[in-house]
Amino acid sequence: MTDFFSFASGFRWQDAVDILLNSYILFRLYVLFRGTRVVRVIMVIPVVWLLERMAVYLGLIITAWGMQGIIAAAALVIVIVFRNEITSVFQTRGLKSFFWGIPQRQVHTPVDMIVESVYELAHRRLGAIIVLPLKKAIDTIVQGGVAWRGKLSREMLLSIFWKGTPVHDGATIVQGDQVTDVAVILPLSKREDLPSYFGTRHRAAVGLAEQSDALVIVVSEERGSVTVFQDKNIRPIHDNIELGRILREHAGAVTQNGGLKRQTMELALAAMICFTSIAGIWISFAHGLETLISLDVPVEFMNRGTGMEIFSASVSKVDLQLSGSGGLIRSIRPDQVKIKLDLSHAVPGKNIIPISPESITLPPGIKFKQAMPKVLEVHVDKLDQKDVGIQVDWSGKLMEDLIVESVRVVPDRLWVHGASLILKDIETIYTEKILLDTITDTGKVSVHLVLQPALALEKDQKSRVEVMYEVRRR
Amino acid sequence: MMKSKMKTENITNCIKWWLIALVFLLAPVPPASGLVLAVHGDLQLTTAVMCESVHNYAPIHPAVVFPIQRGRVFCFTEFASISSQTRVYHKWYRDDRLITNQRLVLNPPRWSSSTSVQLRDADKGPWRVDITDEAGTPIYTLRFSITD
Repeated sequence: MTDFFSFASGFRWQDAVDILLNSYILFRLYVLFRGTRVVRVIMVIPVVWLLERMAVYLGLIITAWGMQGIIAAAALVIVIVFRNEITSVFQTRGLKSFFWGIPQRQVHTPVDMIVESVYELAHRRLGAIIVLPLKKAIDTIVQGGVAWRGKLSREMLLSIFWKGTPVHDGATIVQGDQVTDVAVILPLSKREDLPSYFGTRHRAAVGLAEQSDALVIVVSEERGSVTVFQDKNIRPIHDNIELGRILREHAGAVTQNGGLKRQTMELALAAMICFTSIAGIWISFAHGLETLISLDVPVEFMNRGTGMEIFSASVSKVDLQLSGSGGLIRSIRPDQVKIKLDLSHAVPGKNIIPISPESITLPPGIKFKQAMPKVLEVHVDKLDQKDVGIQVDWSGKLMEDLIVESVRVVPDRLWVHGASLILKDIETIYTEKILLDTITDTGKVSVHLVLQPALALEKDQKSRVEVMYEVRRR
Repeated sequence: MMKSKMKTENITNCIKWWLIALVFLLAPVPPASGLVLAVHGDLQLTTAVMCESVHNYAPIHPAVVFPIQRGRVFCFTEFASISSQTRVYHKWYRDDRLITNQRLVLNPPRWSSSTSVQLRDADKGPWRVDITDEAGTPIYTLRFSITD
C-alpha cells in the first residue's frame, strides 16, 4: 500500500500524456493494419519477448541471445516481408485516417449492382472475370490493362464483357464503386488439381487469388455458371443471395447489429491491450528497480553581467548523485544532464552560489539526490586597466665600497589589464631580479617584467624594460 | 635748472631701485639647487632621496639599494615655497603593502625633513615611499630595495 502511494505521488502529468499518446499511436497502427498478416506477425513479438525473459530467468544463455536477435531483427524483417501490405495500407489510407476514424473496408462497393450484373452476364452467356482487390496491392501481380476509371453500373459491366468489344477479353478491376482497369492480364495458376472444365479464365482467377487477397468472380461463357475465387478457395455460386453475402463479407460491410457489436468489442479490446502494454513498458522504465548513479557534470554559468568576467571557480565539475529506474539511468546521455548557475546577482569579488535542484537539468524520470560540493565559490570581476610604476627588484649583495646611487627604468610606467579587484591593490610591477654581486660599475641591463597570471600588458607593449644604473664608490 | 633736473633724475632712479627691490621681495624663493622635482599647488618639492643617514639637514649617501646590515634607511625631502604651515606624509610600502605612514609638518618658507625605518631581516625586497599631501594625493614616489 505504501509502495502504491509512493508510486502515485511520483506520477506526473507528463507521464499520463506519455502513456496516453503512445497507447493511441499503437492503437492507430493496429486499426490501420488490422486484418492484415502484419498484425498477426507483430503479435508474435511480445510472445518472443516473454520467451526471452523466461530464458534469461532460467539462465538459458544461447536461447536468450537468439530471442534477443529475433526481436532486434523483427522490425526489419516485417518491413521487408510485408512491404506490399504496408505500402498498400499507406496508399489506400490517407494521413487523416492514421489519426482518426475506423476505416471500413470498401463499404461503398455496390454489391447488389455487381450481383445483378454478374447474373445478367451469366444469363446472356457472356464470359467475364471481375476482380475486387482487398488490401494487398495487385499492381505488381497483374499485367497490361486499360485504365478505365468509370463509375460502376450494370450497363457498363455488360458493355465491357460484350462479345466483340476490344476490352472484353481480360479481367476488369473494381475498387469501391469504380471500374479502375479493364482488359487486365492475370497470372495463370500452375495448380494441377483444378477441374478439367476450367479454362484460361478460371486458371487466371485462381492465379490471382493465390497471390493476393483479392476476390475474383468468374462467369463461364460455356455454362453460364458463376464461380468465386478467394485465397485457395474455389466456390461455385448457386444463387444471387449467396454471391451477395460473399461480396458483403469481402467488402467488410457490417450489416448486422452483432457485427457492429463484435467490431466495437474488438477495437475496445485492442485499445485496452495497447494501453496496458504501454503502461507496462512505462512502469518498467520509469518505476523499475531504483538505481543510483554518480556523474561528474561540468558547470555552466549564465546571465553574467555586462563586462563581468569569471576569473576563477572553486570547481569546474560537480559530482551529481541521481536516481531512477535502471533503464532510464542507463540511457542517460552526458548532454542531458546540465548544471546552469545563474550569475545575474553576482557581485565583483567572491560569490558563493548554491547548487540547487532548480539549477540542474535532468532527463524525464531522473531524480536529483545530492550534489558535491553543495556550493560553488566563483570569483567574478570587471576587466579594468591601470597605470602602474615599474620598479627594479635588486637582489644579492653589492660590494661594500659601492653605492647604487640612482636608477632609471625605461619605460618607468605601464598600463596593465586585469580584474579590477586585483588591480586595486597593485601600484607597482617589478622586474625580474637583478643580481648586485656582479655589478662593479655604472651600467645598463634589459630585463623582463614579472606579471601576476591574472594581469596582462597592452597588446603592443613589450614585457622587457631597460634599466640604467649609476654606481659610485663611497 | 640744472639742480632741478638732477633732483628729478634721482627720484626716478630711487623709484626704479625700489621697484626692482620690490620685485625681488615679492618673487618666490628659488630652491637652493635650482631643481624642482614636483610642484603641488604652491608647494615645491626640491629634494627627495633615500639615503643612509641625514646630517646637518642634508642627506648622506643617497642611494636606491641599501644593504640590510645598515640597520636603518632614511627618506629625506626638502620643500620650498611653503606659504603656511603644511602637513605632508611619507608612506612607506614594501611590496605594495603599507608598512608605516609618517606625518611631517612643513613651515614657511622652506623646510627639510626626513623619516626613517628600522630594518629587520624580513624587510629585504623592493620598497617605495609615497610622499603625499594631507588628503593622500601623491606628490612624488621614491623606489629602492633592501638587499643582503
